[in-house]
Amino acid sequence: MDAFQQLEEAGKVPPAENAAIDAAIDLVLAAASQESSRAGSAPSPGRLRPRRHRRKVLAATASTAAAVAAAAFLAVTTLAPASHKPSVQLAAWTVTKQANGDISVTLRQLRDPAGLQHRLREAGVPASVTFGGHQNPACQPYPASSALLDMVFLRPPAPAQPNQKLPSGHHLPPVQQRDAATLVIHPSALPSGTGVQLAATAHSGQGAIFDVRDLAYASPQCTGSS
Amino acid sequence: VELTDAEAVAQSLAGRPEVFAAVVRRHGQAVYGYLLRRSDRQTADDLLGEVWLCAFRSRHSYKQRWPSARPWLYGIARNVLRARWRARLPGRDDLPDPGHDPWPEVDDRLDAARQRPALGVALGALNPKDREVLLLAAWEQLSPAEIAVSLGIPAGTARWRLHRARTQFRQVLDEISARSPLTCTKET
Repeated sequence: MDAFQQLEEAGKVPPAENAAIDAAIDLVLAAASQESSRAGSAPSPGRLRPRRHRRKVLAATASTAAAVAAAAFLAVTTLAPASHKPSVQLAAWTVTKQANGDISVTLRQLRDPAGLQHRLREAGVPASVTFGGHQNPACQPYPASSALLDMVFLRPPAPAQPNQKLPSGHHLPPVQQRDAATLVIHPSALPSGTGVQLAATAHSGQGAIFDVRDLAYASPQCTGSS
Repeated sequence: VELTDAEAVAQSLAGRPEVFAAVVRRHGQAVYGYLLRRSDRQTADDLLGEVWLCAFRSRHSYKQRWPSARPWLYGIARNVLRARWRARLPGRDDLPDPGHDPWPEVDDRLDAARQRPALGVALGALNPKDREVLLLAAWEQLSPAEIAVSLGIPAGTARWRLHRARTQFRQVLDEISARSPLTCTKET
C-alpha cells in the first residue's frame, strides 16, 4: 500500500446516523417553508412531508386579504378561555392565529393548561401543555437543534427592546422572562411526526412564564396526534 | 427521473425551495464524512445542520455548470468549520486551516485507531494549503477540477498544489520509514 492509499484508508469514518441526515432534511424543509411564507406562497402539504396532516389545517390559505384579517380578529376572541372575556378582563392566556399561519400564545396566569393545549391543537399545532413545574411523562423529546428551535419558536415582537433576542435553548434564563410569557409558533417548521412541548411556571415578581419550549415526538398521549 | 444537483438547486430558486432537500439526501453522508474527518463526532453532529442551512441560504452561489454540488458543499462545510474554530479561539488572527486539525481526536484517529502515526507527521509537514488539497483528494475523492471549485482557486493551481503535496507527503513518509528500523533495533 503506497502512501496515498494509506492516507485514503486513514480517512475512512463511520457513516452518520440516519436520524442526523433526517434532521438536516427537516432543517432545510423548515427553512424552505419559512422562505415560502415570506414570499407569500406557502408550499402545499403534499410538496413537503406527506405525513404532516396538520398542515392541511394550517396551509389552508384565505382567498382574500379581508378574509384573513377577519379570521385573525375572530381568533383573538374565540381562542381565549371561554370564562374570561377579553373586553372585560385579560384572559389567563390567549392564542391567536395570524394571517400567515403562525400561532402566537400569550400567557398571563397559570390556569387551564388543558384548555390551552386544546386550543393549540384546534389551531393545528400538536401540543402538550403543562403548568406548575412538571412535564407530560408520555412525551419523548425530539432532538431538535437550536437552529430548528429558532425556526419553530419565532421571536415575538418586543417594541420596548427591539434588539432583544429570545434565546433558542430549552430553558430560558431569568433576564428573558418578560418575553418568555409570549410565544410565536411557526407550525410549518415542525418536522414531520413532531409537536411542541410547553411547560410554564409562575416566578415571583415575573408572573407566569414558559420555562420549557421544546419539540417532542408526536403521539396521542403527548401531543394528541401521531 | 431523479433531478441533478443543478436542476434541484435551480428549481429550489424558482419558487420550490423544498426541492433542495434532494441535495441533502444525496450528499448528506458525504458532508458528514467531511466534518467527521476534520473534527470529532460531537462537532460533526452539531455542525451538520448548520452546514446544510448555510448551503440552502447560499444556493444562489451554486453555478449551474457544476455537475456535482459536492465540491461546493465541502467549501461551505470548510467555512462552517473555520467559524467554529474562530469561536473556540477568540482573538486569534492566525486561524488554523481546516486541513490542519486542531483537535486531538483527529490525531487519535490517525495514531491509535489506524496505527499510522507517520501519516500525521507527514501531513503536519505540509503547508496548510497543500494539506487541504491533498486531503480533499484522498479523503473526499475530489479531482483537481473539483478541488478548485471547493477552494475557489484556479484548476491549474489545484493541480500544482496536489502534485507538490503528494510528492512531499511521500518524501516525508519515506524518510520516516527509513529511520524507523533504527529505532526498533534491539540492543544486544
